[in-house]
Amino acid sequence: MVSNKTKIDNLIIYISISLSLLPIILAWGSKLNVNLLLIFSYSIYSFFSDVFLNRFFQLNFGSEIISYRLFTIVEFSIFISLIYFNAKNKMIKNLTLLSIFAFIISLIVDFGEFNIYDFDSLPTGVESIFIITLTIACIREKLMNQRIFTNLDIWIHFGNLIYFSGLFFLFILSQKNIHNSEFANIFSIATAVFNIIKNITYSIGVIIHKNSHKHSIFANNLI
Amino acid sequence: MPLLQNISTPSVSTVLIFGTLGMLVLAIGLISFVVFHQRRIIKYQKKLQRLEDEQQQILLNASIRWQEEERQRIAADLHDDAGPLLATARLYLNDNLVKQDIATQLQSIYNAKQIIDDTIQLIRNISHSLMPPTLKNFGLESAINDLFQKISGSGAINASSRFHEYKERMVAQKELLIFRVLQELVNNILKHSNASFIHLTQNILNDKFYIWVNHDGKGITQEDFENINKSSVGLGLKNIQSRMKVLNANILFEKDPSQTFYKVTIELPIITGKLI
Repeated sequence: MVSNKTKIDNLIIYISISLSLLPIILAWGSKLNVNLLLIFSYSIYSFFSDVFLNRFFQLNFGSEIISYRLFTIVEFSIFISLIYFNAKNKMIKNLTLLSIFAFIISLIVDFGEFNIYDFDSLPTGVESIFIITLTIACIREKLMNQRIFTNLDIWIHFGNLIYFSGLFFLFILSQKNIHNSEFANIFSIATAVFNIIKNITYSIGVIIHKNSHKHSIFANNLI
Repeated sequence: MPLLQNISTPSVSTVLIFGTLGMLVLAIGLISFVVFHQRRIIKYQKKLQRLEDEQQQILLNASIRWQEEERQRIAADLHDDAGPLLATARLYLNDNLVKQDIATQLQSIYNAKQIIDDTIQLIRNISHSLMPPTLKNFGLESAINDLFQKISGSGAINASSRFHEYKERMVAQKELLIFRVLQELVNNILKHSNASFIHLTQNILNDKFYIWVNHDGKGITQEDFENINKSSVGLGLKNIQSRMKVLNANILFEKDPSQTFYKVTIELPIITGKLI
């Protein structure tokens, strides 16, 4: 039973790592815009981190937590840029800048207060709260628009909302529990599952965005 | 953070499970709300589009019917008036004319000339009804003043018009459309309202061109106008509406707050020298 579960766990993790590249594969040949560029960067870094960086830090520093810490910074930077570039409301843009400030403070506090080999619950918690809040604000901003589902950004927002909502409690509880093997197992499976959901959501967005762009070119040619 | 440090394993699992479930329910609830909201917006937009299409169809039908009626009127004028006149002139100028004496010939030629002059006048009238020469040569202000003077001159109704700010002429097509709308409005007032006066005023306010037509007869309100536009009757009003759409203009039918007269307001955006 135990070995069987491990195989399923590993399978989920491998699927999660592989699916990181799915949005890039599906968007191949599309005209690049800020959203696609940021999602490409995120997917590539995510894949690179899972395949190479985690192992590198495990072998050289005895823990892959440092890789997770780096990942938090990159992830926050990419998603906050995405929100900043997509938001039209000045208040959301200002809140985005404020969240950067709050995130940097949380990083400093985390470096000062906690061991580098402990999971960075404070920055990931701050990151999750701000990304969830700003994502809801962005969705509200777009709510009155027509046919929002043809926009890639709304699918990115949905993916992020599910991902950060699902992992928020796991992130804040990880600092003291990540070294517990059972908790670590739950952590890796849960992150893998939510990663899969997030990447599928991104992929749906990429497909719809690509198709709607094709149709608009076709419509323009007809005119 | 000390709170997290002291959490025991069962509490961790409880917080993790219920916390995560709660957050997920909120996230999925929000996404579901967005999906349903979008569906409602799309449904509403489709309904709006369908109503607009139906309205366009009614206006298009009215426009086609009006064109057909106009053609029939011109055909009737030509057939019933110009046709018999020219046939009569031809009778005067038949082959037997050369066999008759000079006095009869001169009388016949004179009669034929008179009939041809009448025909020319008739054709001119038909042509003027299609495109008033005053409008073509001197513009909307002169054409409207001319129309109102003719109405007032008949003695049946007191009609007056005043243009306060019409220095530059609009494009001919736009002037013709406005003229036709005003002509239709005035015709309706003369036919149905039993008014004792019609007064037209023009002005420019806040970069918009306004024409107000006031009369003291029995008029219609905006609600009546919209109801007539949705029904199968009221061809003239439907034509007004379709011309307003072409002009990208607005029309408002209302009873003055003083309840003493009806007012029609036409509002046009100003784009110099360009038909919208």
